[in-house]
Amino acid sequence: MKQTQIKISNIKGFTLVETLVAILALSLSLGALTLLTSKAVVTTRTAESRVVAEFLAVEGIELFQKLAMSDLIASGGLNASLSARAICSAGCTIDTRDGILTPSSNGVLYYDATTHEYSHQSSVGLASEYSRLIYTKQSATNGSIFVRSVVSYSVLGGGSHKVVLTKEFQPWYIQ
Amino acid sequence: MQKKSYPGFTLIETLVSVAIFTLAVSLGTLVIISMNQAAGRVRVRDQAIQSIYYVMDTVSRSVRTGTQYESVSPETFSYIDQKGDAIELSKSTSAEQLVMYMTPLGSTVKKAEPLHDVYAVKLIAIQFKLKGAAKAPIDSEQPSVAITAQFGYEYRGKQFIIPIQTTLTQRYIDIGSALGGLPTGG
Repeated sequence: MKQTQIKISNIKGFTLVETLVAILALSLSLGALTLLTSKAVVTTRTAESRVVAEFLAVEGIELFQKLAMSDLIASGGLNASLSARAICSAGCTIDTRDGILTPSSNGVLYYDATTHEYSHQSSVGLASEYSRLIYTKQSATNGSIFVRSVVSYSVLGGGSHKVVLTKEFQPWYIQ
Repeated sequence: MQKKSYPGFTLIETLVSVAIFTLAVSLGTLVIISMNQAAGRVRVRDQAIQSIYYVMDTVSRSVRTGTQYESVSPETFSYIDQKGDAIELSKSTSAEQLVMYMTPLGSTVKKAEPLHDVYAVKLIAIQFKLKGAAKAPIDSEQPSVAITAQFGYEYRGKQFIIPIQTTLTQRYIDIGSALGGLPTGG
């Protein structure tokens, strides 16, 4: 009689605790999957911001190009005043509203929700997630200027990403 | 009496574990569904982004090498392209689409060429801000145009907007109009 009872209690299935532990492990792995999903959603947001940032970076270079070409118009072909544009070793702002290089370390772009315009003027919109600064570096050898347009944008969940474009401007006209 | 001491699951234990298991499985299903949705949105978004790059690349190349910039209204921008054809950029009146209207040199027939498919990306609105026009008002400023465009794509009935802005400046020196003379360009 006693022997039989011991035998039976040896033929055990899972205990409740074992089952719970197994389910816990399963839930944990599912939780990891959920985290992955939310990561994918964040990446989606970031990819869209990157598109906007790239076009804003191109705009930075293009606005400098406009200045360089304005100088050419003024001088009639040879750009002697290009070196005077190299004032942005520590960063400058320039936007479509004024088109002027202004030394600054704060490149926040403001987004006007009615005209959909990005500019550095805080009075016309709300601070966007983008900021842009233009840097210039003059070549020691041939008088050309390297212009770097840096757009940084904040990423959901902290941190920021950057888009950097560089172009060389020469003091003579190349189309 | 003997039966009671068999150490299997009790009904309560079974019910509890089945409940927990069901909860875990339904959570898992939700995760899979939302992952699937995220993947679907990424597919749609990538297509939209590709289209935006294509549209802006086409516009940039054509506008930069163009001359005689003109903007009669903020929604329309026209110029003469490198081949001498008259180009007009504006949003289609019938679809959410950016259209390049072209009147070839020596012709009066205007051809419309949509720059993207509305299923890939929609153009919600576009504005052109022209400065230093070679045509009225004539000034000596290097011509440039700031383009602000709101592109959008839809996923599961929800619209996502990508508001881009870029500026393009003419690659030909505008010395002609600066001197108040000939039209610009080579």
